[in-house]
Amino acid sequence: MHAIHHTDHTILPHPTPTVWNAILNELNGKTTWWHPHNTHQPGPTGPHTTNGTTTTTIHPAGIGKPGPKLHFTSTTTHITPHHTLTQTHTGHFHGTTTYTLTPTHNNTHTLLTITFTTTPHHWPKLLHKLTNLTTKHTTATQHALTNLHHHLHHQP
Amino acid sequence: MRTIAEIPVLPAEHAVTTTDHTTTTDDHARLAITVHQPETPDPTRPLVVLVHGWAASRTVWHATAHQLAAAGHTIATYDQRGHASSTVGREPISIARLARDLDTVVGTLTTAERPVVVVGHSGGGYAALAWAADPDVGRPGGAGKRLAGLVLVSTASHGQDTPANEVKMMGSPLFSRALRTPWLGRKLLGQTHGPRASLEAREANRRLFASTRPQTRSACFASSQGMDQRSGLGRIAAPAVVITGTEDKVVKPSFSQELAAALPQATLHEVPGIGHMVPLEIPRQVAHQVHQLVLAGR
Repeated sequence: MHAIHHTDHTILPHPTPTVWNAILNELNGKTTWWHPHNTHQPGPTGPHTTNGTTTTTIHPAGIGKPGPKLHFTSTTTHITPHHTLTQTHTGHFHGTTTYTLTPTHNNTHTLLTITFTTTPHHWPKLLHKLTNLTTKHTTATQHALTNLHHHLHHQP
Repeated sequence: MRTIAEIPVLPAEHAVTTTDHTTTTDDHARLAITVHQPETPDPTRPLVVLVHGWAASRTVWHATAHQLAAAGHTIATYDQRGHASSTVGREPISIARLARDLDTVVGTLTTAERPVVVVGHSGGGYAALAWAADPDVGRPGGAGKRLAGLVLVSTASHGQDTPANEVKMMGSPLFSRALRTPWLGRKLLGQTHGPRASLEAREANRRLFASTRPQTRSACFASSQGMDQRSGLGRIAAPAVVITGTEDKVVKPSFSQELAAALPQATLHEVPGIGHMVPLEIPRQVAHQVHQLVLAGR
């Protein structure tokens, strides 16, 4: 079975600390720019510290729409504030997500890179044989990144 | 000038890995990228970005990219907006817009310090020239600082005014249907390759053309009407290689000759018997020229 391995990028016209905070806020369930495809629920210790966790629920049809949902819990394994956040995840997917932030344009912009390397488990394993989950993953991620652009643009 | 038979095959010294990426432009187009690289990439070598022409996709570069990556280079190919897996975005297709897309790809995959070699075929060459000549692109420092070389394949800086009836035909459903019929599609595209192009190359060309959305085809061919980039060519200080097939009926060799003469540091390679679809007809020769250009700059 093929693993899912994809890297999504976007250049945001905001400095790195702003983007970093936006990611942590989303993974802590405080904002909603990854809606309608993903929601996040932090564990007792949030993802902003090593060994902290967050549980992601994937809503393939969108939040509130009927249909099965997929879940995975991510544990932060490496964190360099304002630069890198690495999480390993288990559940319906087993693998690693890495968020990398690189300042550009004299530190006024940030290149955000999200690398998702994972293998589906349980029934999503069958789903992956029937449909291209890599395409679905990147479509949802790029939708979220577009939302992130709007979210940061309207942030006071 | 050497013939194709004399061009050596690049040394395949490295196992190649490919990774898929997606990036967004400032007008929210999603560009699909593939990076081909040796298992242990050399970060001191420039990133080589291959830009395809109208009605093609990144797969047109498959053979060239693989040969270069096996020889140790890191290669990025991407679908230009509206083509294959890339979306159209909010802004209409124009040469300037496609140059900014190239800038997004370069900015996504490299740090500002890493040099870049850009290879553009046909319409991809128009975007490459616009990017290379624009002092504001790739700020800070502009394109000039990071551009280590240009390889311009079957392309021009001006004079590509596709007639209005041809632009209309590109968007026509009837033309699309005809392209989907293999023998007829190959016949309709007969002028785009040389007389000795293999059936494999001609069929690959037809499939790429047929699978491009009619609206994209028509917008692309319309975008080069009135294009004149000659005034910016003198600003491109990086070494350049210009490749043209003597049988090119789409961008006539005289335009490549003029382009090579106008660029401050360009070498012209005219390949006998080859048509417009150089990346499909002679990928080995393109790979060889890129390899030589990169090595010469080290």
